[in-house]
Amino acid sequence: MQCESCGEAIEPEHRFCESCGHPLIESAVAVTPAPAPFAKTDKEKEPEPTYASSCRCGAQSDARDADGYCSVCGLKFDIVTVASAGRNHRETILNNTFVAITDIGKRHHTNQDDTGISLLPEGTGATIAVCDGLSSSCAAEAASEVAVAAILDALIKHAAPSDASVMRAAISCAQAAVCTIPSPQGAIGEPPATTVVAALVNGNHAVLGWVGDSRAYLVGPSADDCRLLTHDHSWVNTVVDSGEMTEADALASPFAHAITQCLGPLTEEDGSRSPDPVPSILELDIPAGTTLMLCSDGFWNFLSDPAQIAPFMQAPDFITAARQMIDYANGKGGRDNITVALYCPN
Amino acid sequence: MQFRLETFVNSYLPVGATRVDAVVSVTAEGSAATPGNPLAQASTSGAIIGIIVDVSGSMQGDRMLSAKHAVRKAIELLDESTMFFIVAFSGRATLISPLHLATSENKYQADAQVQRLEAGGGTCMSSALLASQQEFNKRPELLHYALFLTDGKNSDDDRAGLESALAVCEGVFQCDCRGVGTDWQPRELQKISSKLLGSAMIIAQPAGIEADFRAAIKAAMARSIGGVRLRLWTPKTAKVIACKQVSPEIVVLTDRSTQVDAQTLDFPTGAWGNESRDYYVAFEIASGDIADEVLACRPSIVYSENGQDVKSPAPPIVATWTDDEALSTRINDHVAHYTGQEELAQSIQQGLEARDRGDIDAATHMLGKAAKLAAESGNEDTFRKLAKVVDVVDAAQGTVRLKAHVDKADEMDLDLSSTRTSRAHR
Repeated sequence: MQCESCGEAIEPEHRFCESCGHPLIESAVAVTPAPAPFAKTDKEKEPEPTYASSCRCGAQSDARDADGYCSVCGLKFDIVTVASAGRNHRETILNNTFVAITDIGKRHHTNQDDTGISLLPEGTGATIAVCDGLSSSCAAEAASEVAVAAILDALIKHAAPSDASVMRAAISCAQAAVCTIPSPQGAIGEPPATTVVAALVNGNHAVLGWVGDSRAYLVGPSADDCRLLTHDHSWVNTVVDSGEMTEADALASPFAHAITQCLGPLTEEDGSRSPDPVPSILELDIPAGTTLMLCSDGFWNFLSDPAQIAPFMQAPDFITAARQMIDYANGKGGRDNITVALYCPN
Repeated sequence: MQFRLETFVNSYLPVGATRVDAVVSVTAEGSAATPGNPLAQASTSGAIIGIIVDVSGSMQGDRMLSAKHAVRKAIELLDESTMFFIVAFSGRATLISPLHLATSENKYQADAQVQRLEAGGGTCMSSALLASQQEFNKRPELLHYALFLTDGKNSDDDRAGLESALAVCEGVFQCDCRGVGTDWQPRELQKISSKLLGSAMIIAQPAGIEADFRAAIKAAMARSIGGVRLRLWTPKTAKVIACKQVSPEIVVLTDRSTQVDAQTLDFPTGAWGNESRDYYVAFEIASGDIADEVLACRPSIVYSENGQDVKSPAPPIVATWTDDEALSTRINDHVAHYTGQEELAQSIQQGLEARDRGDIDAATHMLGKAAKLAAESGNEDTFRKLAKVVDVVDAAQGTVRLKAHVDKADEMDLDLSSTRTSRAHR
């Protein structure tokens, strides 16, 4: 038997891996059952919904009445967060245009992933982010949370014109914000660090930016609709791109999951501060009928081909699709935190 | 006095639909103004009851005698906190008893004037309405109710006069109209009663005037709050396309609103006692996507108390678009019921019109449809009146035969009561 975390040989009776300390038995603490989403128990206990900042007709939040209806067009304001069990399982839903679920998975004690969305003020689009705090760093949860908040804030303030420079500036803001997180006293491990993948979608035009191995895909119900948009900043890609190794060989290496860039105040081996990460940027038009998906490696680790996403997208609605993706990753062991965000601009 | 409001909505819309239909049901409770209840004096600001009697030449004989007797009995019912006046009209109006409190002495004096009345002359309805309006305006803070009795049609010279008099009187007082005999015109009385938020009915036999007057006066005195408005607030891009009282009878209010602000319209509903009324409302809204939820209207009832507007809100009228036909084709029971009652009223009116112009096929078809609708909706009163005009062969199929001989009074009664609806089942 091998430890699924480090690959070292393990004894069946051991509760923890001798080599890396990875828990080998699903402890009661680690397994946090996801709440039954939307199970309406008691009317009083229903959380106050969080409404979108503007109505789809363009009216701002001051036009929203106590029940959430727009006084200009009558439409109910889009509701943002709907179901949440703290950080462990949170479903963020915006009618049929946006769904994001972040889930602790089955093995980790905390959820170090985070995700968020902000609508553009005129109702023309949205900004979305997925961040995956690095387990090797201290304050990984704070890192992803701060990065999501900072990048959405920066994107929403400078959304127009939506181009690469806006995304670069926003990622730079997120980098600065993560660097301000104090390391907890007596913390072991590296300084706070996180990956990021973010999208600024205006109409059907999208600007993507990323650092690390959180990904963006275009997805749809047909296999032809599904393709990977981002190129991970990872050891695997580095050695494959340079021709040093084949992809199959690289994936078999213990470094397969190592990333080469992330947000955070990292230092070089000589103790000097590493240069700020250089984000990758991609601009594209989202074809009609297809959906933008952002996710952390807790989900994509179980994919060998983007086409495998198509069956999930055949679900009757986004919420079901996203839940099935989370269930799928948990069914495969849920080794990592899992985050999936789906956004369809049209 | 409290108003309780419920809304019934066709809450699922097919994709692309931009019309929302709903019924707002209003129940007023806790009125202290029950006749004979001493509390009534303390809790209401009081009412003015005006009695308007036609004394044209055609009233001579039984009608005049019965009318005099009925007015005497009506006056007897008034309690001392009520104010009243009496107008007699023929070619012109005479204020035979000006506005007074209903003390024993004043009632006695008024009755003496009534008993002295003699029939003679033409029929000028506008003069009677304008004379009444002047009396009501002496005490604008009180509830204003008039009972109008005639037996003939208005003078042709007074056609324009009646229109302008109604414009002056609208909103000043409410008026129930009664036609005695069969020589008057239902449409004319309906015009007056609907403009003045009252009812129009036939009293076929003069002997029936007394009972009718007593009932009308009792109902008027039971009302404790006036100037009640149905307020419809809509989002900026929504529009009210219909507003009708549909129970106890159909009164179209659509064009009678007052604009409160850019998004709010007030529709007059007059004075209320302890009673329930239903309103049919329809809205034009911007189209939405599947699963979108839209607010079409926030209805409420508004009235004034000590100079302050008091508002009783109804649950909001909300609808959702769906591509599920099973949902979008389902019509709310209340909405369906009143759509049916309106169709019933139209079928009767069109059927009677067809019968008048000798179009037997159309009349049989429309009145058959009416019989079917009345039977289906449990509108027994209308069904009974229909059965005096047609022989109902098979109500479920809407098969009827026109009767060869129909009493004119029965035909008028059916025509006038066609707008009286049965209430939707709770």
